[in-house]
Amino acid sequence: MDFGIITVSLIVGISAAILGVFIILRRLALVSDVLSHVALPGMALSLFFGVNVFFGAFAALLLAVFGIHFLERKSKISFETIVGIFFTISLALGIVFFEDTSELIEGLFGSIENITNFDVWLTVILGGAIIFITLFFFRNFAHVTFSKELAQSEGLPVKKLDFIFLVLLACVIALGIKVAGTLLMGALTILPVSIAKNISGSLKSMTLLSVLFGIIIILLGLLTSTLFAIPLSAAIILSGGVLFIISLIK
Amino acid sequence: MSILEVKDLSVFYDKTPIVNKVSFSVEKGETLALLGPNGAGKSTIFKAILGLVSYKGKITWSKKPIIGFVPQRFDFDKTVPMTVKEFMLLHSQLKMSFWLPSKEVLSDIKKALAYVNATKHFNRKIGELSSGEFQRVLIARAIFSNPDILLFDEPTADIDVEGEMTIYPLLKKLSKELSFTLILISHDLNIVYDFADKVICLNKKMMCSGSPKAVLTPDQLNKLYGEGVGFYVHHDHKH
Repeated sequence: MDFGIITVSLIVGISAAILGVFIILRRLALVSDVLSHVALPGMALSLFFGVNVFFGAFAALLLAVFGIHFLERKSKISFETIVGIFFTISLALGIVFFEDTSELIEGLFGSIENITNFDVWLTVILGGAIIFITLFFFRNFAHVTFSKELAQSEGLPVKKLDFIFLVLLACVIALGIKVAGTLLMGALTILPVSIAKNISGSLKSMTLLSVLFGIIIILLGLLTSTLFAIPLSAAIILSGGVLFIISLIK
Repeated sequence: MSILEVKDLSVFYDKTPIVNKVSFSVEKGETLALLGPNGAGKSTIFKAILGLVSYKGKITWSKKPIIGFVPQRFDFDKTVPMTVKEFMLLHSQLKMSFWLPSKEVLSDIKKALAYVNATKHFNRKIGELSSGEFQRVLIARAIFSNPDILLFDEPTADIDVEGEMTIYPLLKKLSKELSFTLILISHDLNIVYDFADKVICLNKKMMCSGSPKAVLTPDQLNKLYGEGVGFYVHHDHKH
């Protein structure tokens, strides 16, 4: 198998797993899943203008997370409703913007076999940055997640930390879309952490195990995808699903 | 000497006053109780003191204080495997010691837990603690930074009777030992009577203030809570 594919998959797996800790702690599992679909119109526009799809996906996601964040603070509409509206509008725009159905399918299910050297370097640099920044702010992210009030009373810049978290979330989803597609990327942020959560005795062990399962899921996915000739995105998520069921057995 | 002076404090929500021109001061080492019915603005005053909400009026400290805070509500996912040790390590004062805490930090945490008889919970998951046990951990966390002042917002529900009966003597003892000023919000008139040096009665605006004996009269209580609120002083708390 291509070295670039393995590198990109592993870095996406690790960065999604480590940021996923806070997605699960903030009870945003469904939001992150739904949010990944928001990337579709951005990807379509990237293809139209001949730009790497990461940039279109990232721009669309960034626009969506800040739109959601802004509306949540300024309006009385519930968070779930806002996310639902953004999600369905984005999906509809995606369908309209994609000129070629095969490109839409690639957007939905991933197309890692088409990655370029630029994609590999972009993933190494941005994925590394996501891992570093998440670890750097780990304690603060955890603190804000557990109690915004307490964190703020101890002088933490809660709004800034929320902002950084949302940028990281947009970044990790945009990076992972080539690997898992918009339909399945959300699962990469949820599955490793959910497996780790089922068998961990502390936050520290949950985080470390989450990274470990992020790696295992990717490797198992790469292996089963090659062995049974099934799409990589589906193979990765199914591997995670099997491990999750095993983790439920006590 | 006043450690905190609050003058004409008003907090609005959608132009409706939640707190309306409240003024009071707290002396160093004093225990002040905020008393009033639900929705009277007691927790909002804490939020204003902590800088969590915007307000009108003046909040003046004698010097920049270290504030310890025990919130009324603490909603979190109880299935998350966070230990008490880790919860304490989240404290903002500890900077980068979450992953590899030094022996000194761990010993300081154990010391804070020992003050509230909670050392045995050190490695337990916080989701497994009873509400009373968790409240002790919250107090340990609040006194961990050696605060000048502790704001204690009494939970309205969920605390077991045993926890409620022992927490106030403990707070009073800690405030003396660690010499911090204590502001508490309580709904229990007996507790306020027994433990506060000064009481402020609120119902959006200031209704009364003074020593518990002077303030907790049937007349004042009727004004504060409406007719029919009885109050019987009993002395069976163990100090």
